[in-house]
Amino acid sequence: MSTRSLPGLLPLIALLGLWQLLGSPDSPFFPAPSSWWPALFTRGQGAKIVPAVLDTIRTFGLGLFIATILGVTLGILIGVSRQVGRAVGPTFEFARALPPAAIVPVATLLLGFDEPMKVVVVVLAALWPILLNTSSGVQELPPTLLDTARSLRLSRTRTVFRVLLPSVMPAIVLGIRVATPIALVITLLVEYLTAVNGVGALVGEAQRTFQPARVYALIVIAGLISLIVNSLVRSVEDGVSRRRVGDRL
Amino acid sequence: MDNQPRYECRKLRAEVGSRRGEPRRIVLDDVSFAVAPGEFVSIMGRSGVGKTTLLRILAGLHEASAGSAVRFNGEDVSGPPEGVSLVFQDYTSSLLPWRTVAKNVELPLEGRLPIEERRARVAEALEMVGLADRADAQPFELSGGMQQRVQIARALASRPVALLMDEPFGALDALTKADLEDQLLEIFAATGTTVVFVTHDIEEAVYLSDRVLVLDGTPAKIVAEIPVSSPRPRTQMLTRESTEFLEARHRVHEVIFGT
Ligand SMILES: Nc1ncnc2c1ncn2[C@@H]1O[C@H](COP(=O)(O)OP(=O)(O)OP(=O)(O)O)[C@@H](O)[C@H]1O
Ligand SMILES: [Mg+2]
Repeated sequence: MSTRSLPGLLPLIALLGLWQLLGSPDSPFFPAPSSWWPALFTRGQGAKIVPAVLDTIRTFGLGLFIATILGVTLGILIGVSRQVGRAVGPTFEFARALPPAAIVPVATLLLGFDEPMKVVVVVLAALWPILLNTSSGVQELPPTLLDTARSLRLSRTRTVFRVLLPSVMPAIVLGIRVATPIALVITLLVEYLTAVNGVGALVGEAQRTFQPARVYALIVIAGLISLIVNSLVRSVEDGVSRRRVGDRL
Repeated sequence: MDNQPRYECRKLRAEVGSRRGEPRRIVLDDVSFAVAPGEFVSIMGRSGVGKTTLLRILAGLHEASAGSAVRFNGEDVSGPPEGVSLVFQDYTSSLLPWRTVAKNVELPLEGRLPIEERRARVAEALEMVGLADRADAQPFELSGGMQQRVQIARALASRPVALLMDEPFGALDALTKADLEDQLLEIFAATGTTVVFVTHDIEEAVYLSDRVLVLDGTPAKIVAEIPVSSPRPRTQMLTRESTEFLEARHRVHEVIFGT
């Protein structure tokens, strides 16, 4: 996110301005934007905001990190071995089709209302784009590349870390970019559904206690987290593709 | 010991097609030949006859069918043997584009030799293919011929006793090709390595080799074996005008085109 994305925010700013002019601070559905910020701090609730943001970021970050490690590892195994692909393919198709909202009840049943449950749900949702991009990235590698590694008698570790991973890095980064917003949305959703910590839980709480201005304020915070995270991922992706510009020639 | 062949294939049979539901096709059947240490042997045959398959079997990348005997230095080949280097026709996908030329050549030595030894080997190999001054270039900055030389340098870096080459110059223009042929002959003379060279260029096979093997039929077997007696060192102009060269070329032509 930079000054370049500012013009893109103009419609949003216009909408908020209009809302401010037409809305009233006491409206039960559309409280004016000027009332949002103070609503964060009423009734001594201000102290909850920073810990909630940190909780959300931690669950999101941990979930995305584990999804990346798991997705890349499984993706490479599936990509390299047709047998593994055939063996786990149907199971994965099934797991992938499960909506996260359906996973949440099972996860709370098995893991309780706690941090690990949140992370597991995020991992199960964010895993797929990373896994699928990695495995198809490996499958699309020219056969000669893998033959080269074998013929040079490279060890398995060396083949993975010196040949395979660098070759599929652009596909992996693309997978992570797709997984990032999913991981964040699912983090907020789980928090909202289970009321376990984080910004999502605060939204649920504000909603149940009829504080519409506070709901909007929290949504703005969630939006800001999302903007910052996405721009971070984008700059990492730019870095990777710039360093590998030679591949495209 | 030294009259033991470098490579020996007996009753070699090969099948391809591993996709499920697809019947495996017999590509090579009853192929028998030996390659002596220090010999330069070319394998010829029409497209799709099974040359690459044969070379991949020698390289330990493809398993021959049960009952075949494939030996390198007297030992059964199962997986890529130590001391054998393979050069692919498709140099673009064989080199790692994010590594420099020197780093590409160093790849097979990493984790096996101390760093000074590796550097020395890389420098030596690049010197042999005439790329000493391009050590720090990225592969994509080089021409096709140069990239193929990088691949050859990488193959030489491990000081192989046998060098297997699959149409290494097939994608290059005639002038570059002639250059690289001569460079290969110099390397062959300097290192004493054994070479098995796949090509479908009759002139090239005869110019480089001590012996040309011709594959034909479905499944393919060796239908002719033509020795080339032109003396070494060979040169493009004189060798190609010599009677030995013309005779051998004539015989290969006869076998392949049937007149
Ligand atoms: N992985 C594979 N799956 C199915 N068929 C294959 C496979 N590899 C090779 N073949 C078949 O085996 C036969 C021999 O192939 P091979 O690549 O050895 O031929 P070649 O003599 O090297 O041909 P060219 O001169 O065109 O390189 C061909 O008919 C080819 O279609
Ligand atoms: Mg071939």
